Amino acid sequence: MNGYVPGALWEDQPPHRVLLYDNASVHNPVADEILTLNGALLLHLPPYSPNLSSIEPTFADYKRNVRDLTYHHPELPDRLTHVLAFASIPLATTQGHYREARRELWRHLPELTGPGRPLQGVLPPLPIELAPPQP
Amino acid sequence: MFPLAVRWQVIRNCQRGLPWDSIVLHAGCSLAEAHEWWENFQHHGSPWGDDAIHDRHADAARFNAPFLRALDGLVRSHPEIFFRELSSIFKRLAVLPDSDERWPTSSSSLGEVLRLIGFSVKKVERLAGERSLALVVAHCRLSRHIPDRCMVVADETHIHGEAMIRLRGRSLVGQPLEALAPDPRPRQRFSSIVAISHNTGILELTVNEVPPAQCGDD
Repeated sequence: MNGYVPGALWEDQPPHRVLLYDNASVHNPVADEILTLNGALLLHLPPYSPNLSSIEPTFADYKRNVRDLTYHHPELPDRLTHVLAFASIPLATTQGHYREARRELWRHLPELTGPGRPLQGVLPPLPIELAPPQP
Repeated sequence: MFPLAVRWQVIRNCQRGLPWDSIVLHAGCSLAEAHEWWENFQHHGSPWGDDAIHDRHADAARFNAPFLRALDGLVRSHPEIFFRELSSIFKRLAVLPDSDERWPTSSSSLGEVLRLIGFSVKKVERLAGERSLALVVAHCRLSRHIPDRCMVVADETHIHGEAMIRLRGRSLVGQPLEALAPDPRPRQRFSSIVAISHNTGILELTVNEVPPAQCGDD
């Protein structure tokens, strides 16, 4: 992780500035404090919103790769199987998951997808129970 | 909790020799509770388990105003934690400014106290849904302008040993499909902590062997 530069525009910020993670109870507030002191900007996912995280589909790829490797190469040590399962996820796939998470994020913004807005009708609408009120 | 009058009524009906099903139907309690009150009465002449204590545990929770205020504030501000393990509620209550380390309630009486202050399960679910929706929109507005290259996403996942083995092939005619059955071979369970980024893919990876557990939170 790199340190966040306060005041700089996002276009000028170097990569790996913001750490996004969920609200699992195992996350330690002391670790949050250490990361913040080291300049990282922390962002928590809202509760019960794994669709906004690009890492969940990556985990699905990983588990599928583990099953494939275990079937085709049962002689591999377990730990190596897991590392290979992660290593065999292509970069383009991860970037695709980022794009999907970005689209999912836009779907929740009525100022982008509402009537007369630039993305109206472009993205599939949210279910009624998840749709925010229109502006 | 049943009032004292109902408990005595059950005991009187037992003394009259009425059948158990009509007793519990009339009192509106369960058969186990009616049996417990009757056994308590036969043992020491009172429907209470301990005649000196009565039901002070529940009463202490009901009439403790600071506790009820704390619970009310918690359920309004963080309704989603009432869907998790109840121990997390007591952890949150323990960090409140005027908290008492020995809150006079337990996980078993928490639901009763919640209903007492007007929070049914449906109301808690509605509060959590509204709060989650507002948080999701706020999160989307906040992270909308952050470019993908600046965002590192981290999380942990578990994979059970049985999930590593996938049988292939078709089942024989008349035989159960083996691919849907859990594999009996023992396999190690693994926990992985991963961070990914847009520019590099897998940025950090830690794979740990972990003992068997009931769920991922263990």
